[in-house]
Amino acid sequence: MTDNQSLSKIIIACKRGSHDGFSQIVELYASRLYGYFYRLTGNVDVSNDLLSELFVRLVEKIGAYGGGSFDLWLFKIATNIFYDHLRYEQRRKKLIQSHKQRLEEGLGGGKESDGEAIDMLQIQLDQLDEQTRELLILRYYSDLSFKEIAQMRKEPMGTVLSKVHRGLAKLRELMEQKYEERK
Amino acid sequence: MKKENNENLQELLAKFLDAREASKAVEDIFAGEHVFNSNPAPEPAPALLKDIKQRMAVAAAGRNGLWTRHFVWQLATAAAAIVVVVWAGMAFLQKSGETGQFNQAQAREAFWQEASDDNIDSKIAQLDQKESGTPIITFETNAGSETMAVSDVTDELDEIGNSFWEG
Repeated sequence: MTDNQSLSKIIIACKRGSHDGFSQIVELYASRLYGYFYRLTGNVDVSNDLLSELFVRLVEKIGAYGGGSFDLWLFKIATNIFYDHLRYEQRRKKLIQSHKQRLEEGLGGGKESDGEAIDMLQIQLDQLDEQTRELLILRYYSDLSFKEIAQMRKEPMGTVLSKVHRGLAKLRELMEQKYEERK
Repeated sequence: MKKENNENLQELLAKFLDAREASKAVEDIFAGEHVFNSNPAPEPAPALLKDIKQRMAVAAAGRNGLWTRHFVWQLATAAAAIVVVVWAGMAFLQKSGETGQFNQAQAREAFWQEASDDNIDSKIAQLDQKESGTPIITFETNAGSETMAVSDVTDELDEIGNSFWEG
């Protein structure tokens, strides 16, 4: 994994508009960011669009990056892009319907629909409340510290710790129940 | 791939929980994260990443051009503003001088146009008064217009007043 010094050099190159710099950023962060969007939306096509939008926005905003945690800065942009996407009422309804459909299909055994690969984790994540789900996904894919997450969400750190702890415990319980049912 | 975020969970949780609860919470958190590790999300397609890099290159080229155009535009606007201010200032100063001179010439011409054989003496007196600063009055009489100093007029009026009651 790239150390801080190497990352700083890459960021400086990006600020100068270097194509190589931007390519390296994509290589470093695409996997985590894609995972983040996929777990939030459960949809490959939407995740592709959001990932593209994120990196184009990064090009536009890199000049405004003034130091501090680059990961925090990047995942803030990612979160904003996700919420922008949610704001379209029609898409939101489709997302809820899609989650519901996946849940119903998952409870019945799970199958692919509309080109989506439905995995057990996605089904169980959909059973959690929206806030907890988003928090767990952010925590895992951003790999931000609890302090950074608390700062980003403007919540006390104790609250974030508690929510993550309870959320992960619940998720684990749901997954274990599912595995038991399948035996 | 995950990086180390240099976080000591045990220490962090110990601020909110007792030691035993903190240890249990750390175990729960790691176990929960293991669920994510065991069920990885799909990776982005190589074609998608290639497309993204191309879009970024286009956006970067546009951003650099935009910055240059923005800078040049700002510079041009500032220069134009300076030119306008200087021109306006010069035009204003020039016009003030000319207007002052023009008004004086106009006034003099109008003054002498009004002058005739009948009122020439009063006109001269007015000019004298302007130069000396003595207040005067110009009034019409049966004999024509007459100009007198205010002090002379008040003296005459006093005389008239004193002699009026003599009957």
